Order: sequence, then structure tokens, then C-alpha cells
Amino acid sequence: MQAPLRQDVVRSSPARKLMLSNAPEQERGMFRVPPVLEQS
Amino acid sequence: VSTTPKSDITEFSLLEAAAALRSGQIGSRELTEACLDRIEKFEPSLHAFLTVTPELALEQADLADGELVRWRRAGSTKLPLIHGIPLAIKDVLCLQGVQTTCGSKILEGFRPPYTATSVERLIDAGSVLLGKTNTDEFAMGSSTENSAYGPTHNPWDLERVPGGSSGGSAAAVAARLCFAALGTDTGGSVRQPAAFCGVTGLKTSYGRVSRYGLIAYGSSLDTVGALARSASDLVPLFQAIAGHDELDSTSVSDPLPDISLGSGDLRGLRVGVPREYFIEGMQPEVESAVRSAIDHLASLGASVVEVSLPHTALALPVYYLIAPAEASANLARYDAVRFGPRIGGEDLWDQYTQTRGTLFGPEVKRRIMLGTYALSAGYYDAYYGQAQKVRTLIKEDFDLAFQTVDLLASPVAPTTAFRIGEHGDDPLSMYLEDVFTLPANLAGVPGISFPVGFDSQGLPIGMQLTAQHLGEALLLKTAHAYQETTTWHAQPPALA
Repeated sequence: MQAPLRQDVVRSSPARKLMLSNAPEQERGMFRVPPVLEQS
Repeated sequence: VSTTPKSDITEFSLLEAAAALRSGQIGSRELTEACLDRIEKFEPSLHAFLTVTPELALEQADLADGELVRWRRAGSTKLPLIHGIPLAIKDVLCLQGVQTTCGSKILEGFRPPYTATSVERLIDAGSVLLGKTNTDEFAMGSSTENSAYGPTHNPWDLERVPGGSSGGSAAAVAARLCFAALGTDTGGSVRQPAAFCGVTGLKTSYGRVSRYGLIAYGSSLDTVGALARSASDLVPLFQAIAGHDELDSTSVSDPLPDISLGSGDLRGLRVGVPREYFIEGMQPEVESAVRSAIDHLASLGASVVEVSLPHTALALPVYYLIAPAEASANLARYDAVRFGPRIGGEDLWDQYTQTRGTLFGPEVKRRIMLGTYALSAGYYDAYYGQAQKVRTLIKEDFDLAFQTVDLLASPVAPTTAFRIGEHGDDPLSMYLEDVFTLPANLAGVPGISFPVGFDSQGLPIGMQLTAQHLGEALLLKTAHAYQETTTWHAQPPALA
């Protein structure tokens, strides 16, 4: 038997700018989404 | 390598081009420019590509030429045979920074932040990437008519489909726009377009080639494969992309075999002909050409026996439960938050419904709905669970057959290439195009499709060989033996 998963090694995350580059909308370095909760 | 003079270097086979690059007879830039010229000339009528990357290709070609100069000087370092060779990539495989759409409007403008392992391995081997080829949307289809960017046309008859979903790759190889191409095969998407376009297509075993960076459709069925002009041209491509990848937990760690194509002697090879694959209603010329090709294998020394795969008729309904179920889960990620265009946005539900409702095509929506229904509470056991049980029976058919034979020989599709629009609004008749190729995906075994004749309208006919899991070497060797003694695969379409 062999474990199919790769070693659980700490590594750096992809750059935030790179991950946001395809987002249809972004704001202050975050994905921008429409409101999820209704206004009271 | 053939010594036949070729009037155009794009007529070289991949191995001839590799030899010419090594000898210095031609350079990679020259080869790449010849392909780009041909793309410019024929792409308006074929539409094989969704994105052409001339700048990237020429940059890679110059790098390859520099490496070739160093290699000639040193002489000792190992150089992959695909080094400096212009190739194309199906547009479901990620290439960092280059638009990757899966033939869908929902991914228009998406530039992946990383490259698929299979593509990365081509780059590491020094090959040249000409661009991304057309596909049915999310690889769901058998004709490329489901591409949101319009269909690809078959180089043998521009009024006909090239097959699908890797139809852009098949058309590009057939039309000599590139020397080989990557495709993917979830239910026949490498083998059927290879047959329709008169090229050779390898569907690899499940787990043989990493799917890291392949945009998922049916995760228990998806495989990365390749299309080229011959089995011998496929060998270096397969050797480059196959092998374990720790980024894909389904990739197998078995070592790659040495693939020695050898002579055309097939003595000792046992070929099974499944009786369920010659069905009523198939085009008589297809059956006749495939049976002649089986006789040819026998003339090369193979022993041929009839076998039975009794659950074959169940493969189509099983596939159309499992694949849509997995697709419905995989395609849930297209929510217009992290990538892709966004439509609407009054609130989150509005964003989901408007974006997905507008930007997914009809076939994708059909499969998402089928799959969501099959997975829904109360129906899961009756549909998806039951389909998985029958899938096991289909796999056991193959296991049993491979106890007595080494390979299975059959048609790839019931017909040759059909006219664009011929299946119109009848998805079931389109699904039937894959009736002979789906079972291999359900069983996880490899298959190869190669030309064995033409019908009365001059359209290519393909034959399929299927082997045991990880049996690609035997497939390539047997197809090569056939191609060493026939010329069907060497005939190019007459493009004006």
C-alpha cells in the first residue's frame, strides 16, 4: 500500500496579486461579491 | 526516417522533423514559422485553434535552436525527440498566462496562474507550443459543435465535423498545422476525433498522465492523451507526458516501460474481437474496413478470436449518469467570484443564476441538470449508486477478456464524420457516437485509434485497439506494426 497524497510540507501560498488577477471584481486585495445577507 | 523528399517541411512526420533538427538540416524557428504560416492560411476555414501563441512559440523555438547547437557540440547529453517540435494543446489544459476557455464563455479571459503538469513536461522537453485548440464546451460533446466559439471543420470535408471533443487538436494534426497535439479523453474525445480526421490518437490509462492543470469534467473518467500522424510519432510524446506526479493523487507510480516498436511481426499476439461492437445500423464501410484491418493484423502473425463483453450495451446509460454527476459537482466552481466574467449581481443568487444561465451552453446545462438530479437526496442510490455497480460489471468484462487475449479490436465509431448540424437538437443520437469508446473510460483502460481506410466519400475510417491498464506500449507497438505495412495514416487531406 502506498499513500497517494503528497508530503504535508509547508510551502508558500501563491501570490495574492496572481490569484486575484482573474477575478471579475476585487477590492482592497480581496474578491468582491454581492451582498449575501438581506438588509434589515 | 524516410528519405523521401518533402516539398514542405510541415509534411515531415514528427520523427523526421526531429531528425532534421538534430542534423541541422532545419531549425526549430524555421519549422515553427512554417506551422504558423500554415495556421494563418488554413485557420479561417478550419477554426482548429481558440488561441494561437506565435510570440511564445517563436521564443521557445529560439531557445530550442540554441539548445540544439549546444547539443551538437557536446553530443553526449540526452535530448528528447520532441525538442524543438511545434505542438498544440487542447484548450482544457492550463498554460500559465495564456487564455484557457474550455470552449466556454464562462471562462472567457481566464489566464491560469499555473501550467498543467502534462504541458509543463512538454515545455521541459523543449517543445514549442503553437496555441490552444478548439473543444466542445468543457469537453462535453463529440463534434466541437458545442464550443461556444463555433465548430471546427474537418480538413477532409469542411462541411463535416472533426469529431470531439478534441476536434481542434485532431483537425490541426490532420491539416499539418502542428506535428502533434495534446487532447483529453473522458468518453472517446481523443479516439473518435482521431478516427474522423485520419490521425492516430492515444487514450492513456486512468492515472498514467497527471491531470493537474486539466480543468475537470468527469474526475473518475478524465484522461490526458495525444494525437499525431502515426503511432511512432506518439511514442516520444507519450514518454514526455506520462509518469507519476505528486500534484495528482490519482497518478500511478508504476515506472514507464521502454517502448521498442520493433518490426511488424505480431506472432504471439492474441487479438479479441468483441461481438457486441459490431452492431446493426453501423455504416457498412466502417465494419468492412475494420474487419479488413483485423485480417491484416492476423496476416502479421496475430491470432484473432471472437470474445464477448456482455455488459457493453449498458455502458452508454451508465456513462451518462456518472459523467454528468461528476460534471455537476466539478462545474459548481463557476460562480463568477474568483474567475470568469460576471453577469448580474443584485445579490449572490442573482449573480449565480444570471452568470451560469447566460454563459454555460445548452449541453453543459443539460449535463449539470442530469447530474444534479442523479446525485440528489432520494435518487443517489437509484441512479449514481446503481451506475457505479454496473460500471464494475463493465470493468469485469474487460478483466475477463484480458485473461484470454492481449488486445481488443473494434470500430472507433459507428460512422465516419457526419455533417455539421446533422444531429441537430437530438442529443441522444450524438451520444451514440461514443458507444464504442465509452467502455474503456469506465474501465480505466487505454485505447488507440488509427486510420484503416476511407469510405466512398473519401472520409477516414478508424479502428480502436484496447489494452489492459497501463498497456500503452503494446497498443503503440501493434498500431506501429499495422502502419509499417499500410499507408492509410500517411495520406493527408487535400486542403486548398
